[in-house]
Amino acid sequence: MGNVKVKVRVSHLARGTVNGTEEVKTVLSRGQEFTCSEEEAKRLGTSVVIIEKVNEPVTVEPIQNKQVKPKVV
Amino acid sequence: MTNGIVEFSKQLDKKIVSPLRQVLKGRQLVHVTPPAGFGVTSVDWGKITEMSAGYVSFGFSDGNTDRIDISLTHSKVPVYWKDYEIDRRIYEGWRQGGVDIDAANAIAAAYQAAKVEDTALINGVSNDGTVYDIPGLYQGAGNDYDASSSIATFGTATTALTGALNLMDDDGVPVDRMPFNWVVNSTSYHKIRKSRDTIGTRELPDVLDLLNGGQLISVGTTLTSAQGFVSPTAAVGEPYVDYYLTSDFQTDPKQPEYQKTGPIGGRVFSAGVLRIKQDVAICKTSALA
Repeated sequence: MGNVKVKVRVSHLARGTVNGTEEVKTVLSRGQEFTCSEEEAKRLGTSVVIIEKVNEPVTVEPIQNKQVKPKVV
Repeated sequence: MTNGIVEFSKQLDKKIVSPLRQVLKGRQLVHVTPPAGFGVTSVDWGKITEMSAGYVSFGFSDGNTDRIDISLTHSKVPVYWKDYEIDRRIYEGWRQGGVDIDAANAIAAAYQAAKVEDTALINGVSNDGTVYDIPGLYQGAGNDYDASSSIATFGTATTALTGALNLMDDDGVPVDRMPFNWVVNSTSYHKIRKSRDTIGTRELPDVLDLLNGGQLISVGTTLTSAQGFVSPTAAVGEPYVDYYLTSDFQTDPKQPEYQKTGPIGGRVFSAGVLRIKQDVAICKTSALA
């Protein structure tokens, strides 16, 4: 799944993680936009509206030359 | 014959209403208006979108009126219903007197109709499962605290609940003066109830303290395990959300196909629509794990 650009529909949206009493949250207001995974956008449901799909830059992995070990005779 | 069936239906109503009151969760969460009548098919109401600040001065002047920004919302009133059949001999037994009505089928049908109504109130009315034609308390929430964490870890429940209350507080909802319910799926409900720290201290008393007199409520599987929401209790929540009831649960008898032996059929139904007037007073607690 790729990424999508979404706009916040609710008054406030707090996203991030909570682990016990540790809280790492970003609070976004209505109308603010952010990019997230399609999975997260689906999970947020009616709290956000998907604006567009973000095209990932095409990455080409370099071809690795195989090192040929000299045969030991 | 007809009068007998109508009377039979009235007897069923008496048997159905009491068990339904115990199982209906949605109606316990919001203020329910008195039934307006089954003929009411749609309703308009004002949804408060923004309220301007009050004035302070040493005297009164013009200009502090008509300041509430209200968008008129129109909604059709859906009907929640289920058909049932009762064996003819049970009906004849009741008619001849002395035999108690076995209302099992009618009660089972009423439970099914009640489940549909609960889903509409708690989650929403949707034809395709993604777009909600009439949002319920979860889908219509005006704030969202995305927990993205395991609720079983000690401290997460209180952190998530505090975060949700904080978001509503920022929108001007008097969270320190009102009791709230935290409505969750059965899995989250039991995880929160059993959450303890390393020395055995339970987290539940803290959760209940934060709810200010409200309750932690399980709605079974009406919400998924990741979903939950915090909303004002029915006693104080009327200015924010209510259930506009047009018809309370009742039965409607059907004429049997065979006059002497055909089973007695009927329909259990209710009708009403959830009206969310200020959505910021409801906050999702999503992504609970």
